[in-house]
Amino acid sequence: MKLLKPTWVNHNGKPIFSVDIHPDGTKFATGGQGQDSGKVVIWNMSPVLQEDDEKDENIPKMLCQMDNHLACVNCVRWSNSGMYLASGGDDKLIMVWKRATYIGPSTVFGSSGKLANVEQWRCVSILRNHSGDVMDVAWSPHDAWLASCSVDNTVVIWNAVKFPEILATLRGHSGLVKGLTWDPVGKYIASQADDRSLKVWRTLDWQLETSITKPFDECGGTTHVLRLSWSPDGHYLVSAHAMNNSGPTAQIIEREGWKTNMDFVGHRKAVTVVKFNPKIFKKKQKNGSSAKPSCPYCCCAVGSKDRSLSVWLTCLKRPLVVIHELFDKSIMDISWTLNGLGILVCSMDGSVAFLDFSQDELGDPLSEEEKSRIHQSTYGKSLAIMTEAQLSTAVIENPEMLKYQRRQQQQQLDQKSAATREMGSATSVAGVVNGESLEDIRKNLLKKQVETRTADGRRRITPLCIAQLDTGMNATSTPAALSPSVLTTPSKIEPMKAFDSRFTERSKATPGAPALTSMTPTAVERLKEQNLVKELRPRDLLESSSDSDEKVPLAKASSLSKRKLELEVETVEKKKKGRPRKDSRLMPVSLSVQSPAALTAEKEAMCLSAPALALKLPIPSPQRAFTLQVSSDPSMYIEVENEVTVVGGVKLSRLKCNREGKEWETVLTSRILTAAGSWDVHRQVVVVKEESLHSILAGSDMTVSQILLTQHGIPVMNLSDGKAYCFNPSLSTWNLVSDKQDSLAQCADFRSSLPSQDAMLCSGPLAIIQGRTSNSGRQAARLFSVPHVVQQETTLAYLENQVAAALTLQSSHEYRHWLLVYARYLVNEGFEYRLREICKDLLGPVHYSTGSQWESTVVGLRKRELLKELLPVIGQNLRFQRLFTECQEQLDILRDK
Amino acid sequence: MAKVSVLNVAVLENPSPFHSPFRFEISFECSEALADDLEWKIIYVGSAESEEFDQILDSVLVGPVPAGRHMFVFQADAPNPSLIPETDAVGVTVVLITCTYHGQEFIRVGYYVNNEYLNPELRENPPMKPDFSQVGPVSTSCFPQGRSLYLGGVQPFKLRVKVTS
Repeated sequence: MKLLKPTWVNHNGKPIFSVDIHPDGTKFATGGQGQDSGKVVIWNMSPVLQEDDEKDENIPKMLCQMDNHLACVNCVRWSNSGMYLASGGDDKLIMVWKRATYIGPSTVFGSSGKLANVEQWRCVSILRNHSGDVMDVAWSPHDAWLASCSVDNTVVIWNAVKFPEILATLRGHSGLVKGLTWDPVGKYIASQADDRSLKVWRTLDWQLETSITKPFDECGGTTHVLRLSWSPDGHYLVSAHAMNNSGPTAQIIEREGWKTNMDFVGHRKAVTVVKFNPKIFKKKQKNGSSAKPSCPYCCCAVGSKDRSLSVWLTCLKRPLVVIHELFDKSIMDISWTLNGLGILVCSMDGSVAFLDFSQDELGDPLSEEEKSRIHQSTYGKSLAIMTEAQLSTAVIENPEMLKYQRRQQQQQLDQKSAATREMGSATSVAGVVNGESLEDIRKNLLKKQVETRTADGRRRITPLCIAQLDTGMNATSTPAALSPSVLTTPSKIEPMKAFDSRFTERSKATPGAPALTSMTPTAVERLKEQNLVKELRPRDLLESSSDSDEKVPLAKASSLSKRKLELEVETVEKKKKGRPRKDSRLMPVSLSVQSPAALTAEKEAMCLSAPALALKLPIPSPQRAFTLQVSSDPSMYIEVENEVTVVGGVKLSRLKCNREGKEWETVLTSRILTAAGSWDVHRQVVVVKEESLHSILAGSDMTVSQILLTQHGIPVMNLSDGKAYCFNPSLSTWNLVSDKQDSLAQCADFRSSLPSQDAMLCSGPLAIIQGRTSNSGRQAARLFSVPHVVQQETTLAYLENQVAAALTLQSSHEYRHWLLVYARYLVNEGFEYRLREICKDLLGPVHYSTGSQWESTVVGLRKRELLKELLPVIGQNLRFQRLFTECQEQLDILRDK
Repeated sequence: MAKVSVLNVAVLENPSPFHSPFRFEISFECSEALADDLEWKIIYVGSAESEEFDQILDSVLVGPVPAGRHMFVFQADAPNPSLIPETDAVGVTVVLITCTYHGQEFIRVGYYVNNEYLNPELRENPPMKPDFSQVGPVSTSCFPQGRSLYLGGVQPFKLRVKVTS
């Protein structure tokens, strides 16, 4: 072990509260007190690691300093990707920093040091929520969340993908929260506070998993920080300051049952910080010795107020090393290098120490694959989902494949070079603006400066912009080429809107409109007789305000004499006027439609108890069509609203549907529920006729909350329990297309397979029926809570369902979208069999034969075209190069034919 | 975090005779586009004894300010010698550059100004009535005082006082 105290790492004698090494190991950040503000400094790592670099004047030691924090910085943490740095301080703020590419070197103006910042780090987000000093911040594995804790007793979980969105505020501590750590598999987050407790929270629902208090009973709130740590294998959580027999310890908490049987003893004062080595080690295998597989173990550094540092291996009973008197004051933070062989320790005395271990001392670190295998075997899942490493050795067999791979690499390169170009321009931007050197600009600045007079006669100078800022978080991360299949088709179905309909008024409002309604008094009377028992109930019906909308696409309607229509309108009005809205009982009215198809349909429909229904078509236009929802279920009361909207060239008139409460239905469930009839008048075809809803409505007190027709004339029915069914005319069945409580949908995680973030916005009937639940945090939560294998299966099932649903709804855009997502997921996860099935179906028989059942199109899309779209997706994974080649060749053959 | 921060202030034509105008080249960075103009002022401190001898040499509005780095030259006429107490005419004084937004000052950069006779003879035996034509001010060591601007955030304005030199 080597020990070094680089004296040049300091905040001018001011305390350093936090240190963190960048994941790439080239730099590290310190946070602490500045002159009269908080201070974050980014340092070069190489002068710490190598003496030569330390002596070399040309190698900068300090890369950047930021004194934007108003008060002392308590914590600095790099994101796992290394892209961002988060800092939290006494000013109650968390700042997220990103390397700025556009801006040239600068200094902190007015600082005593004249050192220019070598790297430019700009604050991209300021997270304001805490009402007290921020004590610790922590990025979750995979950087999905950022957690912060504060003396305001809360822990806040921020959505790291969408700052400054807050996903959860964890309340429960009754004292200053001074430390945070994430579980390496992301299932939990633990916090330690001055209230003598350590709490473990679930990331699934952000609720408290357990609160551990026993080891902390004797603790006093004397430490500045309580930085706890979770072991990389996930087995142990080690607390900061705990007490055992009035001696300070670091408590070991087992994940299994949160048992507290062991602790690290030996420090004479409170433990301030515990930090696990990111690596898992195994014993070095000596040549010749029996290859007895030893248990993997972890390594942990413990820092204390007693100014000493101890390093422990979980396989040893005693510490590996203890260093006393390392600092003059308490140790504040510890950070391991990613390779696990070095530690940086910082202290309140303002200095930093670096410890360098050799592999002989610690053991052989396990590779990332082995580590993820441990996670996989212990927790059934791992965060390393894709293991690209094994594939890198594969031989590319097909030039086309090579092309795709190259193109992919090219894209990555382009991104990189774009980034470096920006870097390059960053250095030159100071020199050149619009082809002019800064010197020229400065010379002519006064002459060229635009000066105007404001209305009140004051001088106004327009400043010369010398550099622009990239203000976005991900300004350069998504090139347009990566999102080729963003599907945005205009929605063909009106979104649901609540409205109140006043029937009578509306019928008056559009006199002369060719209303296609007529009353059949016989039916009314018959119904009266039949439903005498229930005559009171329709009143409730009218009063009940749970309503939903109906949409009626317009198309051709048969011609009717105007006079007759008016007459009919009058009858409707009379009837309506005849009974005040609330107090009289509802007159059930049967309805007939004056179009031949519908007329016959009406006869066939045999409404057992027809709801009051009247239809009024809004605009006298020659292009008319309508759909009627006639339900024999008397609990449904449908009114036609004369509001017209034009969506995508199709006029829609809204129907209003009033539903009744439970009572009414329980009487009815014993009866036969003959179905909602729905006529697609446009095609003069009866789509749904006397289909029983019994199968889907059976037994329970569900009601139909919404019925709508897609533009392809597929009736879709939403039920009150969140399920949606669509009618499959060819099979005469109701197919489930959406279920709000579907656990599949909630478990499925295919975010990585989406072409881009925007693709979630793929619109169409399916999206409207299912609603958009693209809560990334929610999905990320699932990612951490479900074993990976289970998740794969559910995701596959969910995606298959989506494809099937889009197919039944005949929504071609959505079918294409979901098919692509499905294929991309299969490619990413490496499911060859299913992928092959898809390709086979899309390709069809290469040689035409009459006996073939294969159809070349699906919902209006040419299957082979779809396959062509799929090919680049398949080409992304080398594992499928044979499949890629096969499809490619066969498509070529087909094209040549 | 400060939405506006001063990157650099360069004193142009330094040193120069007393009657020549002050010229400062100011570069600043703004992390978000500002809705309104910034107001910059140059204040000449006539006497260390009292603020009543402070002279606002000039005030100017600067805008529009989009996000990015900007630069401008702020030129102001020399102070009116008649308003300076005779005893304080020669010697070291201070010139301040301040920036306000919506009437709230958030940046204050100060420069020492050394007014002295160029003629060694006059330096030795200064005349009773100061002869400003012979005085050349020398501006040195800056001491920015506050450099933070909070806009629209929860954080209140807070003037940081930073006196170095």
